[in-house]
Amino acid sequence: MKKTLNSRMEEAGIRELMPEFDKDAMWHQISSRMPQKKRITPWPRLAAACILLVTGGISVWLLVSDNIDSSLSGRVATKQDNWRTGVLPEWPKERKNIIHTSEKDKVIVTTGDKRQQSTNERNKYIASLQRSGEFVCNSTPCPLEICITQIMKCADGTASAITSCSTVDPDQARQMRFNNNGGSDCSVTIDEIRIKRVNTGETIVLTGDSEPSTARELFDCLTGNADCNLLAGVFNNNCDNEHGPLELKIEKEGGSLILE
Amino acid sequence: MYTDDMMILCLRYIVNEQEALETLMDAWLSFFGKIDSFVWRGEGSTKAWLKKIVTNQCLMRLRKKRLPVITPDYMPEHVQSNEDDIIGHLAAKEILELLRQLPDMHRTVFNLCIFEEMPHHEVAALLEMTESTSRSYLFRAREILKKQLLNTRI
Repeated sequence: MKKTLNSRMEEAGIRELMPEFDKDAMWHQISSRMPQKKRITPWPRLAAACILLVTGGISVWLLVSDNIDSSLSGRVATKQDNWRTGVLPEWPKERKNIIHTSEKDKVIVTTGDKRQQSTNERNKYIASLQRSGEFVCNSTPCPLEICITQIMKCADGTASAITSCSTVDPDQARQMRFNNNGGSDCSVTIDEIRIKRVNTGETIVLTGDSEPSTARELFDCLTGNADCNLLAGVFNNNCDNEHGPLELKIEKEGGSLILE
Repeated sequence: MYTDDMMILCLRYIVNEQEALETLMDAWLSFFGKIDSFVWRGEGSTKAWLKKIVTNQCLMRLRKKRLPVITPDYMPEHVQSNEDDIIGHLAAKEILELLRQLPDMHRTVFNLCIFEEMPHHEVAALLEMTESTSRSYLFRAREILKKQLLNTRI
């Protein structure tokens, strides 16, 4: 009986048993009764995307700013120093785009990677700034600003560009400031020396392969490591912008270097 | 795809066609609501799962109607009959009509035991009765059907 009934019912179609059955109407009713899924705003995904964007943006900014620091080494002022009052420069915390020229001396520091600089390196850096070279006399009629840019590379891979500037008034003598060594973990090399006529802004730039003198040669003169008699460069005009060209020579005379 | 089969299943349990249709729709909604928990275990698993949902939905509706429980009186150990010969000559529509003439509880037990091929202990657990009560319902359902079949033949 069981098998017979089952086979009989399975063979039967719905049209035979219930001709009025309307499948489409039933599905229409079911679909209208189906609970509509709420459109849920994917807040966690949005939040994650925002965090990623912000993190990525900061990373890119840091990368780009580091590149700018490297390419503009010496041009980006981070902190002023006043050597005459004996106040030590603070470690650079922020970038400034304006270089102040009113001070007689100033130190400009740019770093390859600010985040990796430790307190020890900072202390070494500050201590190293206490060194000074020979007295430089300015025998020209115009105030001159001498900026020495050095590169300090440390064992942990960080690199810093340190620029020390000194302004020497006419007929005045001043010791140049520079970084003599970077301590046991860091090495310091001379990168560039700029001698600028403050009035006109005209600048002689000495680099590793500049003519007629290199930055290293002039640096040795300024630090007293070598007896010098060299031509640093040529100014096209005097400080009144009318006379020129004028040669800038550096001579060892009476224990001092003379600009004329 | 399985709508026709499931509608026939509902019609076997529930006499009123409109109620059967409502039950089927409830079953489909339940099916879609539980679709996340469904695990496909090969061909036929979907139909088996759907069939189970529809059967449960039918039983739920019958429970709401409070199926009358009758205390079984007599149940022979074995029943010998020529029902198969008679059923073999009936159309599906006629079989369905005979089933629908059974009292609710008799029809339910008959459906579960004969069509769903459920053992008595499972039927008893499902309908919250003793196993012997389930056997009794089945016996009585058979007896009623036999009488109806004989009347149909006459």
